[in-house]
Amino acid sequence: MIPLNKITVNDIEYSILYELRSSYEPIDAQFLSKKLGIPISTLMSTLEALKERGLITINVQELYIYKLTQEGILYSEKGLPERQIYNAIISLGGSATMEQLLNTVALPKNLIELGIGHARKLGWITLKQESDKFVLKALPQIVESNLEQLIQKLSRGPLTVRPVEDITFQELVRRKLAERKVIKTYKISLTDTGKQLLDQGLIILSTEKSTLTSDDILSGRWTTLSLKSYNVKALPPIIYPGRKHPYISFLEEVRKILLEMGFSEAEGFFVEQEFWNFDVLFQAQDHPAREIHDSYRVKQPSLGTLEDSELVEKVRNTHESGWITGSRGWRYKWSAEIARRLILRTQTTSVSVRYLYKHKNPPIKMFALSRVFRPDVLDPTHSMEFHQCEGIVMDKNLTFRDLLGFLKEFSNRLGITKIKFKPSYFPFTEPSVEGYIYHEKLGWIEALPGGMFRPEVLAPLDIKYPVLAWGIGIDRLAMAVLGINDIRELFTRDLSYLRNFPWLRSHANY
Amino acid sequence: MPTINIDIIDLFNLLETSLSEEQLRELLEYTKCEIKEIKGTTATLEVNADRPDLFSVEGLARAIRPLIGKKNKLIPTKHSNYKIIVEPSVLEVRPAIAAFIVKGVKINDTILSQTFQFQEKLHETLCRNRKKGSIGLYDISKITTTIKYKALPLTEIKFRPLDQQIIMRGDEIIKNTDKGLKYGSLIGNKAPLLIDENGTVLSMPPIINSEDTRLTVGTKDVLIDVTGFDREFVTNVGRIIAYNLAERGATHIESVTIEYPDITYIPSLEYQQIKLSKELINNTLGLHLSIRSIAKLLKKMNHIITIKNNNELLVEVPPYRVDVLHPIDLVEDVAIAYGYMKINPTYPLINTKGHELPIRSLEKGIREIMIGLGFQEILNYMMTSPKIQLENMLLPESEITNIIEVENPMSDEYTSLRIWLIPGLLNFLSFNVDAPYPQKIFEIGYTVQRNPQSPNLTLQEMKIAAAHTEYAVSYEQIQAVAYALLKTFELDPQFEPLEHPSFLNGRAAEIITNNKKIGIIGELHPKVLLNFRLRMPTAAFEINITKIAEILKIPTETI
Repeated sequence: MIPLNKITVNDIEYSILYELRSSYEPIDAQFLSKKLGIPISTLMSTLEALKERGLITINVQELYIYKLTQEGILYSEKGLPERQIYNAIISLGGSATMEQLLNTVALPKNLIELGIGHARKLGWITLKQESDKFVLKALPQIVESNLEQLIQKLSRGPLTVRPVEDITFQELVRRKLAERKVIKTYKISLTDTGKQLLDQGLIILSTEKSTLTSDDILSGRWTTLSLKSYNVKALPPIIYPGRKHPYISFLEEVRKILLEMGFSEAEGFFVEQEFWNFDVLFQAQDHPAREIHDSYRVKQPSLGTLEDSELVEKVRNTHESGWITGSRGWRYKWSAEIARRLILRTQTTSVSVRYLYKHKNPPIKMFALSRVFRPDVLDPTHSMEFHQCEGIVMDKNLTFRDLLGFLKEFSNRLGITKIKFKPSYFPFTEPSVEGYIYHEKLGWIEALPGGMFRPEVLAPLDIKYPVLAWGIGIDRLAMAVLGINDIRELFTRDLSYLRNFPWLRSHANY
Repeated sequence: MPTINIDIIDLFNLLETSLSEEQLRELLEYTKCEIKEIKGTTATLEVNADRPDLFSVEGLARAIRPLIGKKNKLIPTKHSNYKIIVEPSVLEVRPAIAAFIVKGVKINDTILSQTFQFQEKLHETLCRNRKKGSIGLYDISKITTTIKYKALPLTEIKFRPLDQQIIMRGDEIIKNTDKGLKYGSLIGNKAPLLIDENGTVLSMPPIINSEDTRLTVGTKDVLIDVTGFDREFVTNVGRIIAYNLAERGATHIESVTIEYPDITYIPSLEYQQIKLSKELINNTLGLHLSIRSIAKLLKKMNHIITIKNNNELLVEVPPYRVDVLHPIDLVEDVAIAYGYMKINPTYPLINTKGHELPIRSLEKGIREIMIGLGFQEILNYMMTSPKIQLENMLLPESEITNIIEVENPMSDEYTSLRIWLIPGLLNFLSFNVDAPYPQKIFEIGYTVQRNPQSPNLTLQEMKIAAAHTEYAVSYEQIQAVAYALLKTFELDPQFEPLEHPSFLNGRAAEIITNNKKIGIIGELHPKVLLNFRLRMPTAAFEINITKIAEILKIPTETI
């Protein structure tokens, strides 16, 4: 046997080696970090050094962690589409047509089709032709699918498994019900040399100190002190700074531009009476936008109070016969009850008309940059809640040309130089315009709708001068500027996404 | 926006010329339509809801002709000897009717399918799914000159419905045909019926026409009826259909007498007359157009123009232009004909100083401090659910009386507005249990709750909430943050012990300053954490920014 030489180690190395010696089995690096109170990054660099000196071995192992996605969590509660389809067919008496399913199952059409596909594959349901219709029939009894069992397990928390290819796990990931993360574990054990050295007491603790303290400095001890060198090339522990939300950065930029253009900010009410959201804007009471499919109605309380009865009468007359505006009006019986209905506002134009009601003297430049609501199922291109940027200008002698000028100036300041105008229609403006802006990647985007408020809007509010107005769906603009393809990312629930969002991307020179 | 399909060859035939795709795209801009897709010779167009007269190829051809230097023929009108007698029985069911006759068209397959599509598009949009108006078209050679419009019990109605082989009873039609199932809810036990002197049924509006009087290839003269509730409205819809169908080479459009129990009248085919001044146009558009060029531009939009003097002209607006309510609508027609891209934008100098909402200064200050304290800003939707807001937070169900819920949610996740922010923060954390710790987040945003005192019965306030979660976290840690934050605004917070179901007893407090309760703070109850699938202890606070603004005398008026 070759005689071994003494080896000098520092305090951290010493404590690691002694911890390893007291265990019969390899120790996990994470565990070691917690037990010894050494940050993982420091530990890993120390372990590398010990390995190079032949004292320990590091065994690297990969593991898969499966975690339910938002969709997966939803299905763990409500059942997978195939289960929902199956249950729906059973509740419809064991057989159903496609049309019936579309009306019964609370899922979008593509998911219903997907669910039918899976249910058929599982043999839960069959497709039969009856006379001229296709009918889906369900087995009276079925067993839980492997996928369902797995999702139930995952609903209690993420699963860590060895990296084997399993068909159910594959389906889970393919259907985006769960995300798979690969993690590495490090199992540490002593080499034979390391063990012998420890047994023979040949591991000596160095007299080097690893930290310089205030006492060392004040007492003068630092002059004789031997300080351990760091591996300065090693990467530090990861910390995360506090940061502004990227979408807030964008909204602040837009707000700044409007302030510079001399616009003052206003805000109205998220819960609004239809009167201010529609009637004052001369949108007829049977206009499709006012139907239950296009605005969220408040359940309780359902009706607000109309305060200014004089204004109410003017609006009523304008709708019914045009009042003194020179218009024919919509020619129907206007109902105050409908006008009092409470909704979640669908457009920030409700802020503009409330503002005009209070401020009648020119000049006025007002903007609102806030949230509106429309019944929609959240998906990559739709949201039930989004931002609008609303602006109005009121002054003597304003013209349609000026409106185009404002739209052009605003987009120029956002860094958009290519813009074109096309005729358009909005119930409350005439003439109306749609401004298209050119985006390098997306081409021409419909982004700047505007117009001049109709006489039927202005007269009841007692406004004597022209009003230019626009209402921009700012979310689409934000997506283009921030390089986002999925509207849900503006309200992301992914902390790592926010922590790692490239700063310059949310502060580009618009 | 509605979409329609047209056959491009059909359009070119109607225009008597062909166009390149580029030309067509440009011309359609004058009509507010847009080509979505072209497959073979079929083009799918997105059309604008305000111009129902452009929902068919005939209307588009009529709009395009003057733009390419072609003239539209004026279709002569006259009065026919046809009449519809409205019986009192129908007044309670579907009281209004209008009818017109289009003579001398030769119906072929293309016309049939285009007319059918047009009818359906008008039903879906302008007629609000047949509720407001329902259109029927018939081969007039199969009908006598006097037609009765009456209501009968469903069980007493018998005829052969469109596309059916057999004669059916009214109630059978409702139960056993597609159209019956779809529109049956629009009528009760009694259905309106159009029936001629020979007892031939024309239709059972708004459900279905009869097979016996249907349009076929070769039909020359067409009767059009529209039923509904408003006499003027049904007349408008009838005119749109009549004028568009007449574009297929009709010799005449004829009016039909309607004999109501109270009055006899003839729905008019006349043009609407509107006086228009040069001043209104130039002042609105910012242009300097002469009266002659205005006349020329309006003619391009198919209006008939008489120049009265140097400042005024008389515009005769075609009856199918139901969107023209006010002279201002003609101003837009002038702008469209002139060309939006030819109008040079001007940027008027209006000296105003822009102000943010006063509360924004507070919002920005709070954001700056929270970021400095190492917190990541997050954003949640204001829409959420009572499950997140109350149930997960262990709050009693009775709190629902504070919450604004919507009547028509589209998913279980978003059914109401938030009354506080902390549940949204915890929900956010629940999606990040595997992200590196510590996790420190905050959100600034509005909450909405019920308030009987305001006209909209709601109170909306701006708030800030922050949460800190890691292996071990304490009340003191989050309290230090809240304290530092409030101190920045020269506030002197006191922390009064609070019993609150969402927080651990003895580790929660109410934040009070200037004798006002401005927030709450504490360590979240483990049951709450588990409800959100969280694994680490979490401490949080929520402070009312609107209330701080009041204390600091920052105006909170927003309009």
